[in-house]
Amino acid sequence: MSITSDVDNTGKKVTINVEGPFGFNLVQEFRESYQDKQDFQFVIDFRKADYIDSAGLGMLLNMHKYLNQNDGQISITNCMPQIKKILLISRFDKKFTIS
Amino acid sequence: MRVLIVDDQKINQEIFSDMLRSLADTIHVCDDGQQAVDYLEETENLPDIILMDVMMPVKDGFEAAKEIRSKFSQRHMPILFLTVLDDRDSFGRCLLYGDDFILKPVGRSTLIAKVQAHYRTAKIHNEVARQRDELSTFREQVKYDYAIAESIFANLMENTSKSIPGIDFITTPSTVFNGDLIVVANRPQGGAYVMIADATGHGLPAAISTIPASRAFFTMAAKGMALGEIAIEVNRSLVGFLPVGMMMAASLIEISANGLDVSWWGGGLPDGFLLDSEGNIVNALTSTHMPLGVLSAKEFEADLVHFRLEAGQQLVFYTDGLTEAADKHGEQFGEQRLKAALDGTKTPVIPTLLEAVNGFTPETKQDDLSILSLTFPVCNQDAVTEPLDPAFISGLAIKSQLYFDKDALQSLVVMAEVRQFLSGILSGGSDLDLLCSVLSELFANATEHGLLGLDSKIKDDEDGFLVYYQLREERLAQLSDDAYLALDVKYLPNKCQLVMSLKQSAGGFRSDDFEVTKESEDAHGRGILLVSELCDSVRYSEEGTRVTVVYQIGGQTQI
Repeated sequence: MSITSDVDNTGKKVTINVEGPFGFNLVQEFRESYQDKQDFQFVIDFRKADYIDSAGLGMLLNMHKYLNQNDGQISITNCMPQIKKILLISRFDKKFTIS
Repeated sequence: MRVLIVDDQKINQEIFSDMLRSLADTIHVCDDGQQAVDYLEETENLPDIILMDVMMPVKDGFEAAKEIRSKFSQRHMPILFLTVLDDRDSFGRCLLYGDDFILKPVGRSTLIAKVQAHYRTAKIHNEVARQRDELSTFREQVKYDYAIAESIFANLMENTSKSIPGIDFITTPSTVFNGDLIVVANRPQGGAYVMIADATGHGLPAAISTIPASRAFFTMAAKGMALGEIAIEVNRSLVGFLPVGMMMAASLIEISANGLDVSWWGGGLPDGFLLDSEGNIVNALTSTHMPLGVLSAKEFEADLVHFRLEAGQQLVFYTDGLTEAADKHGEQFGEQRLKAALDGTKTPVIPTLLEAVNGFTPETKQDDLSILSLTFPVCNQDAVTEPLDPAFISGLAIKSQLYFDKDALQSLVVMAEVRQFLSGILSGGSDLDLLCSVLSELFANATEHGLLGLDSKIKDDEDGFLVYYQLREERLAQLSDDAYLALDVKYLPNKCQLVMSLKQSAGGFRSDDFEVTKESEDAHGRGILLVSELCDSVRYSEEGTRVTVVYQIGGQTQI
């Protein structure tokens, strides 16, 4: 269970890596990874995430709201099929680019 | 030397024995042909030479010789006839049934000379026969070993994905076994992993070293690991496995779900090439790492090159069997000829290169030779793979209760414990993850809204999310002593169904509190929707303090 992020200050790009279950225990860490970076481009790498619950979904929505970027500008990549399914059930493809 | 003397005259037996005493280790005598045949059938130590009188009672020498020849056809025992018959017909029969003859009366030096000569021939004959038998046993053994090894390699490669549009390769071993390896695996997230590798040497020793590499590759690929981690694992599997001096040059490639983003790790293979849509060489990909299996885990570098390709562009990789293919003067095909063959060619790359190298070296290949071409976008429709090791699913019906009292709820990461328990029923795979999503949801609701009386609407305010979870912490610390959650799990193996029922000690759930639609944009309320989508049924009872869901294992296989 952890969040790590790679920040590229020149390219204004942040990659957030999620490991383990993505739920409310990560709320602080996750928030810190995007705080005060409104003008950055975000990629969330779910490669090592094993499951997500509604708290996790809420955290993603919160991020979207906080950054106030256009729909689809935040990417969620490398989702295992089971996580992708949950994101799609919850229609997160409307707000995020999911690949 | 062992000698058998067959003669009906006692005096002859004595004379011949005496003549051969200095030469022979053992001398056995028989009185007639029948006795000789009987003796040979019984003895464990067959003689090296048989001296055979022709005219004897009971069974004569010719008859006895015929029988001995047919009964001991596998072994060369020279039969020397001792005879007084001096007609041509008798000589002929002597040579037909036996190997030589000596006329009686027998001279000492003639006897010794002939016996020695035939002994030498027999020894050589039997030695050659022994070697022949040994060789044919050995050949059978090798044939058997090869057949087994071949089927092991065939099984090993069965995991490789055969048809992903855009990925094309050929690998031709110099012997039955291939030290080159091209493996392709579906990426669980969509896209693909590819590895092209060349183990030191060729034939069986090189082929063997591809085993741990491909195992590690497929295992890591099934987990959807990052390319760098796959490189680290493949390297780790080879270090310590390969003898000093053996290593594996390789390129590892990860293609993302969009078919255009590529990550590359290159160690020790000759330069790969990037071609534009016209087939012109745009760039060379030069490996910056050492081959796999050389550096310890501490020293190993897994930094990657990332690039995005355009539709129509191609990547070409190959093993040194291509550039080092030599003509009859020993001159190698080389990179210049390779580039010339490649540059600006619009025809498919692999046949073009093979034709060029075969035209250059008409003789048989000396090394394993492999070519890999990737034409972008690489569209992998078949993204979802069967896991390498299918998840274990219990065959036992299970009925149990997990009980979480106040202390447990305060101190444990509840879902970690629940996942650990569930993995006893279902060892892994997407069903376990989805089940955890469902239960995580139910536990969150029961804890936060039931036991702690939190209102989801807090989350709607600015920073509400943090406030909500801070409040959760505070209230959890003040949890009343009689608070508990109890999870009943019933597993029905014949239906592959899990019936899970969560009881909370306080609070109740009214479904109109959580009325949500799929279009809801609130930061809360999504959980119940998720649960109902993932489960066959969701039912509340006991005034909302118990929720029962039915989950079908394998019901979500369409994902």
